[in-house]
Amino acid sequence: MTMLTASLLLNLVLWSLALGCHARLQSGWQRRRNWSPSRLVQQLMQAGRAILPVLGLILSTLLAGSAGVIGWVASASVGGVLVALTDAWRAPPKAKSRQPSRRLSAQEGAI
Amino acid sequence: MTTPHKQSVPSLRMRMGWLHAWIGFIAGLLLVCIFVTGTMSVFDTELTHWMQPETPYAQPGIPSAEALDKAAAAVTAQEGKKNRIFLSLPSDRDPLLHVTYMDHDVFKSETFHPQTGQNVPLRETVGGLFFFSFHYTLYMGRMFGVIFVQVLAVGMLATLGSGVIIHLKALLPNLVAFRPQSSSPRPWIDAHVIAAVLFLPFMFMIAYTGVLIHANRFFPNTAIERPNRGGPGRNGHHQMPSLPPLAPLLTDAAETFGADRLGFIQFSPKTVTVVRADNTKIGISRDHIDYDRVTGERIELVSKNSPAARTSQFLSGLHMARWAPVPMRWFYFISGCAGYVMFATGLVMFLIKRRRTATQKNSLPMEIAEGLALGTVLGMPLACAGVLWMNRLLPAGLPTRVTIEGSTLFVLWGALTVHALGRAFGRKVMKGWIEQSSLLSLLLCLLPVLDLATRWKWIAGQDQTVYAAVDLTAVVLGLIALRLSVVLKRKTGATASLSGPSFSKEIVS
Repeated sequence: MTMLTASLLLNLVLWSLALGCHARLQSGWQRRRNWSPSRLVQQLMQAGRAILPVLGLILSTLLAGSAGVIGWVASASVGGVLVALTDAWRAPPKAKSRQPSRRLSAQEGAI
Repeated sequence: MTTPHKQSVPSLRMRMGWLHAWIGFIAGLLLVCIFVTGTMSVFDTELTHWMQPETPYAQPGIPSAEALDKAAAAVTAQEGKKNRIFLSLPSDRDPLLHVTYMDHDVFKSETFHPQTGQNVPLRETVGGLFFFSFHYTLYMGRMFGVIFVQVLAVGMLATLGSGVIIHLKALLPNLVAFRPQSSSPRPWIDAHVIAAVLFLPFMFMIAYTGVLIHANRFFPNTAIERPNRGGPGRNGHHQMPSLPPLAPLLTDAAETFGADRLGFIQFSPKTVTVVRADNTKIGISRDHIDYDRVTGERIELVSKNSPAARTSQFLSGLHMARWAPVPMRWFYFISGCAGYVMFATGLVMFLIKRRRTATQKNSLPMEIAEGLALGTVLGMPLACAGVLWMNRLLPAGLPTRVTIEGSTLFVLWGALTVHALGRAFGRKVMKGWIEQSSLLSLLLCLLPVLDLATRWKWIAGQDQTVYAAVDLTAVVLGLIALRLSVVLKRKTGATASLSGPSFSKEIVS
């Protein structure tokens, strides 16, 4: 296994954890899952969201140089997709259908 | 006293929404195709390998003197009548030795085993390079086609910029939110935002570098003059001197570049040039060593190291990913798929919105737009899968197989677009989506069966990695297409009672 491959895998894990924390910090996510984390957990997730990617960037630069930085950016995208798909897979059953939210209408309207 | 009602001025977000929608739709129809073929081009060498199932196993490394002598004889035989000839040296991705030449604008090659020097009879095929050429020229010529694709890439940059402004407020909170169970159009928007926002660095990079790679097409006077490699002799109008033994040249070049970093050899009446491989660093530097064609002595090492040249090399390398090892290529591949998803979902949302706000139920432009969207979003991947099927179904020795393989893409794409337009005019466009996604899933899921059925004769002595990777990827993509067709069928069934089976009503269920 080359250093670039190792840094890619490492970054994939770190980015997935960081973006997982990011998703769980969103009020919408917490409301949908009916989950309210304690203050300590929230602080830990906020720290994880910030520290893990920086740690990944430092490690990938040390391990694979400029190619590692490209890998760091690329693994953020793939890690995000993994988190999004995992969350969608484990989502609670669909709530009763309601009117689209104002934000949704605004987003759609702009398009 | 009442104040006069102020005329509302559209906000920046609304203006950007218009730009995003219209530029995105018009450019997106072709950018979908560019992304499909570009994503396939990430593995162009591997696709060529798959399309030549006779390819034997060989160890990469510096070829033997015997193999190089045989390749040199093939080069000599082709010289004098062909325009450009080069000798591709073995690499990890392609361990065989190829003498490649242009024959009436089509690349052809003779292949040799790098250790034994035996001629390896491989079927002629358009190979992965076909998708690569389509990706950056749309087969509209190397001048007009490239400029046209660049204009589309500029359109993509405008779409991305305006898209960031539109989604700015929801950018961070919705970064990884995908809610497929919600009512439409939320899943479409989520998929669009995830594909665009998570891959935004890739999208900007790929569009920006794509424009800059051929920037000299926009400004022809800035084109770099190519070095004179022997003048009229390249066109075969006078006798070429015989080639020196190539093995000592490669040994010498390997001392400078490294044994596993030799790319290819070019020939001119005065020189033999050994070029550094593109996979050695991110930038495509094309450093090379010129040798005297008669004596075989080293003339000079040519390396462009000016800041401008290095920037250009870096941007080209970043776009083409020739430096990237296999895991990194997969990341490029996934990012390319995300680009396809971004444009496909964007086109669908554009149509949903227009169908909702359309003043007339059946307007011709709307039906044409729905047909074209279907014809590109599903028609192009189907046509690409069709090329792979045609490659294996045609007899290996058929003289016109290259032409037929190439034509398959355009004929199939045209036929599927006609089918899509027919469904749109018949107000059954959703049925068209279901039919084409079902056909796509069928073609992709059955590709491994076709592969095994047409490769069993040579399977014993082969490395299976490339074949397994192509087959498995096809199955995964086929299952995604199957899922799409099932979901669309379910939604259509749920809204069957609704009158007017238009695209929006069917999809907004």
